[in-house]
Order: sequence, then structure tokens, then C-alpha cells
Amino acid sequence: MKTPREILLARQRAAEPKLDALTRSVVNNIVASSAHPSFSLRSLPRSFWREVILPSRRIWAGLAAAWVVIVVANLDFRVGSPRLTASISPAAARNFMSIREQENIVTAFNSLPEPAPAEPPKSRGPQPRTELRTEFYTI
Amino acid sequence: MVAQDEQLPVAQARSGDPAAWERLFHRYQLPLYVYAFELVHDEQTTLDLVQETFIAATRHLASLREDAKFGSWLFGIVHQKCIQRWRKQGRESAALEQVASAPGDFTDDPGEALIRREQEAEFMTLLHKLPPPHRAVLLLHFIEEFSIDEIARITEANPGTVKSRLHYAKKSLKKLLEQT
Repeated sequence: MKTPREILLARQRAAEPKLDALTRSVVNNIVASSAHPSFSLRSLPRSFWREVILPSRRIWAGLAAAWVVIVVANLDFRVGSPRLTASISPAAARNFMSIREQENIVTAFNSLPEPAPAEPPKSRGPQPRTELRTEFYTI
Repeated sequence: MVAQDEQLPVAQARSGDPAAWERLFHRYQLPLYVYAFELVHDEQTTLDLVQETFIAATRHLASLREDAKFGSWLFGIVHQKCIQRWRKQGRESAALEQVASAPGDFTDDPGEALIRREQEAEFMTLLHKLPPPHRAVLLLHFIEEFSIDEIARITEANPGTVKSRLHYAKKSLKKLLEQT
């Protein structure tokens, strides 16, 4: 009589030499890496790729694809592009044209030469108080 | 019987002691191999999975908070690697999402289920017939006697699901043992 554990382990005992070799190779790698610390500027790109990019490569690929879509859409639907004007309704096109005209007017105004500075107003001295009083009596 | 409170040199391994790593790997190499083999059924793939698990363990041991959970942590890594392998092979694990219904009670010890020599082949046949999630749970229960909570952590399922899967698997096994 055997327990399920004994049965399961006994069936795979033949794999033990290979597992021993595997364990030795992993431990040797530990020894090697502790003898020669792996951090260096030269190995940084490779370790960045291995530690950061590779484990979540699908996420990175998804992000890259999203950026490509955003850039393409941005280029394709830039204001005034033929594709955009073809895809919008007539009313929207009229609005778009009026905005365009307003933009042109603003641009034209901006391109006008600067007006000459106005002459400063002539300064007049204060009138004598007696003169004012005279006018009052005249009315 | 699996020693639950065996002293494992996890702290020494954390400080980079190769001898400690060797001890840890030697302790778990066969159980991990058995577990992965019964899920992927290919010797070379299983060896690759065990190696990848060991390498991942050396790199990420810092993320293990409780040294006593080293075993279940290691099985969690190999379990994830098995799932990644299934996905890569296109066998998207719809079966992994299967959930058996009725929960049962688990007072019985996995070591108590003694199997006669002439029943061994039937036991293995039954094991292979189980859907992968049930098989995984039963293997973890038998190989390392992990608790429901530990199995739940390893398989990233909730404890209720693990309990019901274990119940379903053990019920099937019991039926077999009664028949033969």
C-alpha cells in the first residue's frame, strides 16, 4: 500500500539525475554571478530588456500599438486634411470653412504694419480762475 | 508524509549562499517536476519549466515575505509557468475556469488515501482524466499537503473554489478505490 504522494514521486524518480544536473547548473550560475557582479553599464540595456520589457512584452506591444494608432490618427485627421474634409457633413464643412475664413482674417490683421505712434496731446496750462467766472456771468 | 515545519535555509539563500540554494532546489526539484509533468505531460518541457522556476526564484526571492512559505511560493511560480505554457501552445485554459459545484469537508489527511499496487495504474488514469484545475489542486494536496489557503494562493483561485475542486477530485478518487 502506498500513498498518492509516494506513487507520484516514484513514477518520476528516473528524472532525478537530470534534475540534479539542472540544479547544479542553476547553482553554478549563482556562484558565477556572485563572483562577478553582473551590474555594469554595458549590461544595462540587456538587463533592462530582460527584466522590464520581456516579462510584460504584450503590455509594451499594446502600448506601442496604441501610440502608433494615435500618431497615425493625428496625422490623418489634421485640420484641413482632404480625408477629414471628405468625411465630415456639409453643415460641419460650412462651419469649418467659416472658422477657416476667420482664421485668415485674423492672420491678415496680424500681418498689417504697426500703426505709427500717436502724437502726445498738447499740454495746456491751467486757465485762470477769474476767466472762468467771467464766462459764467456772460451766460 | 511531508514535514510541514522542516527548517529550510531560506534566509541563507537570500544572502546569496549557493549551498543554501542547492539544498532548497534539491528539496523541491522532484515535487516540482512531478507537479509540472502531470500538467504538461512532456519531459523536456517539464525540465525547462523547473529550470525557469529555479532561475525566477533566485531572481525574485526578495519578494517572498515569509520564509516559511517558500514551498508554496515556488509552486506558485511553476504553476504560473505551466499556465503560460498552455497559453503559448494555444490550449487556452478554458478548462482552468471550470468550477465544480458542491463544497465538501476536508478533515481527511492526503496520506490516509492508501492505494494498493494493483490500483496504481487506475489512480494515474483517473488523475489524467480530471480537468486541469482539479488535477492541479489534487496534486498540490497530495504532493506537498498544502492547505486550502496555500493552494488558493498558488493557483490564484479563491479558497471556496479550491475546496470544491478538491472535493470533486477526491470524490472521484474514492469512487475508484471502492470499485477496485
